[in-house]
Amino acid sequence: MKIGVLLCNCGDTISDTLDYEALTTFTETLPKVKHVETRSDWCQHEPLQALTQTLTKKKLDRLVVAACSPHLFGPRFYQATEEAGMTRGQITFANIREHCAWVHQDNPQGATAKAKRLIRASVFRVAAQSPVATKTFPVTQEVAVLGAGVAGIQAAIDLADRGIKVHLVEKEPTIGGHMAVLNKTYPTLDCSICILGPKMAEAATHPNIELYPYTELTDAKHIGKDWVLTLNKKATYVDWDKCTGCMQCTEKCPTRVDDAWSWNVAKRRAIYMPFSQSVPRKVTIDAEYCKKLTNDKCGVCEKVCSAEAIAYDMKDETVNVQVGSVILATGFKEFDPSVVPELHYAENPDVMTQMQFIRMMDSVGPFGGKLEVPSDGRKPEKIVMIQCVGSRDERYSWQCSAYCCMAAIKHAELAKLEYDPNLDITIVARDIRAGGKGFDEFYERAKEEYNIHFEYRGDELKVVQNNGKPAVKYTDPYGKAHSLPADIVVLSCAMTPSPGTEELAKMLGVPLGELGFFEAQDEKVALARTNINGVFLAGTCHGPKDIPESVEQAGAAAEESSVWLSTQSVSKELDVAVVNKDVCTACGLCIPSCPSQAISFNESKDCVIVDEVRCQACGECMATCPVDAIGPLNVNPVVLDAAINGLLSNSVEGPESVIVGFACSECMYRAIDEAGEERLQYPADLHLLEVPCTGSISTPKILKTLEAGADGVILFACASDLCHYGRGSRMANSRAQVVRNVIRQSGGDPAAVQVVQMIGREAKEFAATAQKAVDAIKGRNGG
Amino acid sequence: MTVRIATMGMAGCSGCHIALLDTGVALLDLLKDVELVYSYPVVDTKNPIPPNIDVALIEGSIRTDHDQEMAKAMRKQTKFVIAFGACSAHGGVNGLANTFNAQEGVEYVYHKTILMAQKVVPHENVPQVLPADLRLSDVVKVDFVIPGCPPHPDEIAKVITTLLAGETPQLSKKSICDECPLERLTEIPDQLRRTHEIPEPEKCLLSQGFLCMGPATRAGCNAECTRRGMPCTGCRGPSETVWDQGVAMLDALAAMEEDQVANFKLPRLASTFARYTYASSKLDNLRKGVQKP
Ligand SMILES: Cc1cc2nc3c(=O)[nH]c(=O)nc-3n(C[C@H](O)[C@H](O)[C@H](O)COP(=O)(O)OP(=O)(O)OC[C@H]3O[C@@H](n4cnc5c(N)ncnc54)[C@H](O)[C@@H]3O)c2cc1C
Ligand code: SF4
Ligand code: SF4
Ligand code: SF4
Ligand code: SF4
Ligand code: SF4
Repeated sequence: MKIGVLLCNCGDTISDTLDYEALTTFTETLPKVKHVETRSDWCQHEPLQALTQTLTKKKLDRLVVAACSPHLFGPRFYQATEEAGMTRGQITFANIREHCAWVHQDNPQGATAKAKRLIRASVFRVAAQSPVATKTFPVTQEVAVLGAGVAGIQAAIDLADRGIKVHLVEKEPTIGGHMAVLNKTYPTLDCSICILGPKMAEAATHPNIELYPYTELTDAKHIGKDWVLTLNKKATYVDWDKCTGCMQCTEKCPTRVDDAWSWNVAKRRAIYMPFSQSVPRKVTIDAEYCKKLTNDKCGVCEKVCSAEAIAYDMKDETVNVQVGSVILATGFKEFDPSVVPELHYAENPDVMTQMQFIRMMDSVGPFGGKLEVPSDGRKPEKIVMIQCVGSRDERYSWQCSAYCCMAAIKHAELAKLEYDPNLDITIVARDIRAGGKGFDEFYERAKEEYNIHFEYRGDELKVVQNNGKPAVKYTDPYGKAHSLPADIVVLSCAMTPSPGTEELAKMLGVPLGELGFFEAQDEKVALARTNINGVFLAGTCHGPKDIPESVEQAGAAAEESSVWLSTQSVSKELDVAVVNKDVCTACGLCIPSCPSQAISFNESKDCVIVDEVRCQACGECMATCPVDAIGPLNVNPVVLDAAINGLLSNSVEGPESVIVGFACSECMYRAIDEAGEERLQYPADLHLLEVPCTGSISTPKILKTLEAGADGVILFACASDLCHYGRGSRMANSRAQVVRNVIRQSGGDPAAVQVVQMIGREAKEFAATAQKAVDAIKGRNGG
Repeated sequence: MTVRIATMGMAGCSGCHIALLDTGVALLDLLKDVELVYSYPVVDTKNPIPPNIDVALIEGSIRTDHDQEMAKAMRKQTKFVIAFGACSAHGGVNGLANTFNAQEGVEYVYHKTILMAQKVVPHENVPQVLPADLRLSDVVKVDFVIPGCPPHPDEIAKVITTLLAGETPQLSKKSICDECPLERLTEIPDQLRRTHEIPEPEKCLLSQGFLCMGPATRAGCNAECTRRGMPCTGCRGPSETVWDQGVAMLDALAAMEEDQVANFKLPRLASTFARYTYASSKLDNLRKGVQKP
């Protein structure tokens, strides 16, 4: 092995502080170093070109760049070395500018000693590193869209129109989701199905869309960059190739069942079509209730079906599809208000949800558009709507569900428009949120044109029973009590994650937010993206939204997904975690530690394997493994030990103590660079090693560093809830506390180990906390 | 040619010797080729240690100056010295005494316990207690270690058979999990559970929140404890690549109940995480390092 070291004095701004002669002589004596070259302008075009030649001529196979921050000109050096046939694993940096010369300007002696140690650490480290191979993963030019509500349908059509094959998977027998049964949409009172119907038809007939109704995902595997999805097509017990949708059977079926598609306000038969505009227009047998399938009785539908489509012996079918990208569009579920004790929803038939209310009013719905009081069939005169049920209520969710103010107003207007203009309707709200386009006019019109009443409530509200009729009792924001009797009480319920969201999240590795919806990679600038490459989000599965917002995000998801595919194949440098099979003992501890869900057992379950595509080389697994069997290729335990050894082996004389700081290369490293740029001064005792995440430093590693002679260890981590790898920063803190306790219990001073958790880019805060942490450690030594 | 074998007991409980007997029929086979020249359960060991011993199995830790002398004497006569069992290999349970000051301990025994009527610490004609519990390799060169408290009879038989065949025995380099048949749950348990609680059968104990030392403990016992639903207590000491058995497991728990783990007191740290290895652990090193003036 031949190591070259480039020393840069950066137009004298480094050599103002550091003694370059001493540095050069020192560097030349380091093991395996065959070439040391000093310049003041290494980052410039010419020197870099010359570098490529030097590397080849001198047959150097490792390079250390002792200069400015690698986050600044790293890429230039990568390029220059790449041209000489080197890979990223063969080059490292010693940041002697931002981390040293610029921040210890008044301490040239200390800074020079520190620079020597930093250079030696990099030389030792690069010697322990391995070349990084690059692998190309082809991406299948097909997309799976899970969930066919308005969001899923829109995304599917957008992609299909671009010539991309789409597998549109829907767990219900029909596509369409909630929008298909909304009757009208706010704020324009357009007919909902008139907008969605054509899209449903297009999704069903588009040559590039393959529809999988009544189908669910049961397993997902990553192969290279692709996903292999296992889909379970549930048996419908009706041969859909033959079924004409004539509905002879549904009329004759004797078995009545609560109709989920009317939110249980009506009954349907055991053989059913969800609603009259269902796509595909086919019937399905509900195996749970069908007398033939449960008891081998009845069999009426088979007799009446002239198309001979009934197939009682049908079985579930499993299909695998391989796709390059997945769009999640699994929608939402209306919050179940029966868990709110004071609303008595479950006991009182006259208390219903907005979804039930709209289904009752739908002229082509299960009631044929009769609006009646459920308990006695009267014509209602008074209706009270309660807002924010399950939303903005800390018991269930602090989030505003965003659609329900407008939906309530819409339903109130519809009731007046289509049934009885004299209906007395009051909406009891915390406040009305009308931020969307045309929403406020809609609200004003409700008050002025439709004479809908709005009342405002404080925290207390309950539904009571008054002479067999419900009444809504509440206090207003000023604490005054009110009571509103009603014939029907309608609850405007929150949006909650649709059932099965958690399982999907697990299968695909997509994180869930606090409220259980899928989380976007960034809630401001990457709304349709998830943390998992190639998996995108559309619609309410990401959180409460109305139709326009769902459709907007669907468009973005389709766009992003097609861009992802258009890269055709994805190259990745395999600087990822590697497992030492001879050492791994298959304890499985690393599996849940991995934020990317990249680790699983091999087939014979005697060691783990790493998914090269998913692994982000964060190193959490390395810290977790008790036997040092796993770790990112070039930040593994051996490489780290080499670097630590480089800092601590004792041939460098200096006035300062040696405190090892592990700095996470995300936010923290940038804050430290920034401190350098601003020339903020802090003690030269602090020697920083860059690690992908402080969560990669194990409890043994901290103690081992102290044992190797460090006067102290500081972990510089991101703020605990801002860690790029989820638990990393929290683990760093937790481990440091464990070490501190061990030291304390052994009679030592725990101040030797410090953790700094802070928001990145805060250069001043970094310099101040670094000073404090160093003082704490040195104070322990008596100065 | 018969092989001359010796066994010896230092600070220990004779459990390892019992385990040797427990090799059963295998022992009978072994004895054919073996001459037992020195072994306190069967031959008079008052005589000076006989010369030209091929293999010596030394049980127990080094607790007194007498242990130390005997170990050195045995080493002189022996080609291949085996640290036999946890005490000899790692200091054993005895090592937990290192969390106390040895002299105070001796005084406590002779002054405060009921049986010691005279209340004097004897100094003549009795071995003197060393300041700390030591493992065998702290006082003499050790050629091989058979770990375990007690060692597994199958492993004892295997090591001796290998030696008789003129080959070098090998310990497993992996950890208990490697031999453990329980199903891994691959989730971080949300709380620690105590050993008296009943685990779900067939499932990894650690993933159920029981402190199983398996991941950091050297394999070779066929995971006898965990396959019976008892968490491994780590009697076989650290596996090959583990820096420190107890610290490694503390780390594994750091992900679970952070607050709790960060507050364990020394007795719990030592007896839970370094039950058989404290005398040779980094925890003890740390304590000693601190106590240096
Ligand atoms: C009472 C009420 C009134 C509303 N009124 C309006 C309005 O007037 N205007 C407006 O803009 N918005 C309104 N909304 C909001 C609107 O309904 C939603 O914004 C919109 O339907 C969201 O569409 P989506 O595709 O994200 O979800 P969904 O419509 O919920 O569709 C999701 C689809 O995914 C399927 N699915 C779920 N899980 C899986 C799985 N694991 N595998 C496969 N498929 C799965 C579901 O079966 C469903 O078909 C209203 C909502 C309610 C509750
Ligand atoms: S949209 Fe209106 S009713 Fe719905 S949660 Fe927000 S404020 Fe409450
Ligand atoms: S390095 Fe990080 S992402 Fe890669 S396998 Fe380990 S824990 Fe997972
Ligand atoms: S933690 Fe280490 S030993 Fe355990 S399964 Fe993972 S790599 Fe293997
Ligand atoms: S029970 Fe113990 S030995 Fe068995 S797999 Fe779990 S941690 Fe390993
Ligand atoms: S499972 Fe653990 S405690 Fe039990 S014998 Fe093996 S090493 Fe010892």
